[in-house]
Amino acid sequence: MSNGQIFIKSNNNNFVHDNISSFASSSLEDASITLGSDSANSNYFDGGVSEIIVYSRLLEDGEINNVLEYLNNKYRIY
Amino acid sequence: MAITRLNDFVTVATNKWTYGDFKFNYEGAVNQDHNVIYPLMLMQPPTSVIPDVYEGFETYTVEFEFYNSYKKAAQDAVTLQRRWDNLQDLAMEWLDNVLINYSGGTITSPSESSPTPTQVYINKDSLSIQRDKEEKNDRLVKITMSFDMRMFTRCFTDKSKYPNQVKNLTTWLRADSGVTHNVATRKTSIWSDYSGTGRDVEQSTSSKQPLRYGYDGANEKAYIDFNGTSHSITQTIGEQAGIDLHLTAFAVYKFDTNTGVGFLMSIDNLPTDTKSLQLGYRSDLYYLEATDSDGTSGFVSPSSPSSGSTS
Repeated sequence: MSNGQIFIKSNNNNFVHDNISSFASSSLEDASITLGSDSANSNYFDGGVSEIIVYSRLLEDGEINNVLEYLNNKYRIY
Repeated sequence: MAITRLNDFVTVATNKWTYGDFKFNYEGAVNQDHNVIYPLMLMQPPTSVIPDVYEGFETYTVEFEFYNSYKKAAQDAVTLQRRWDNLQDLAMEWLDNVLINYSGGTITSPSESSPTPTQVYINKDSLSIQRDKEEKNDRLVKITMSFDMRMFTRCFTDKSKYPNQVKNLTTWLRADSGVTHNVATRKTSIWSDYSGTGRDVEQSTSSKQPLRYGYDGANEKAYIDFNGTSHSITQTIGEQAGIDLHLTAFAVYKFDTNTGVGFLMSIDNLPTDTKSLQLGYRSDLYYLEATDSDGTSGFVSPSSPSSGSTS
């Protein structure tokens, strides 16, 4: 089993998602990130992306706050 | 308003000039109109020096030219000295208005959680007023005001807060830097990764390349625009996230529409593997969706903004 965290900041909407327990194998180990659609080039996204940051582990709270502070300082999201 | 860009200063400076006409142009722009436009302020494009340290001060060097405080018919009836003095009064009054506007603003210091007063002030030693005669066939009186304005800038961040100071960073994409794009068409072929792991995202097919904008994103920052029909860009090296796929991801984005299904970011091996971790929207819901190998999935939406989980 595995865990993941995604921090989503979209205008004034934001939420923290944690403990994604759906992944039970390494099948995503080599998966690449695709922006704008899924990797099969369907389900296209209509919008803009300013920054993407990904870590290969769960971050501690202090580390998360560091990244959020960096992003908020730059983009004034909240 | 707080100044965050050079253009902010231009906006306020022009709004506070309520005495006559205004031009934003280079020196010499006042020519054939000098007999009909009174009073006139000419603002030359300011220059600025951006500091390279956290909480530094950006210095704006600005120069304004003020022409004639009297209409043409009244000029001959007023002494030259009086015309100069009145013009200087106008200029100083305008400058006060601009400074009052800035000192009333607030910003949030990157190092503090509570707002702090905007720190904007003029370097008093830089302020100079020059009275010029015999301008434009001796028909105008001109006062040139120049000064340096220092302001707190939020352009730079303490490097200790940079994402690459946190271990296990695998992807760091910034729309404001490292984007290879065609200036004329905005088409983006490479979005370089700043994590140090070389996980650039690329799109070689012109019709599929997203567009790079240097403004109008969150806080007027740059963004990469996806059209919802053909644009996508993909990493050249997989995440290699580890056998348990522990991930923490951050995304700054905006939706233009949210109808149908759209994935802002997808980590998957479709169609060979049904497992996926996808961030996007589905039928008006902004969501994060995780799909398992048996096709089951779960998602959370910002409609429950504090937290959520899948099973």
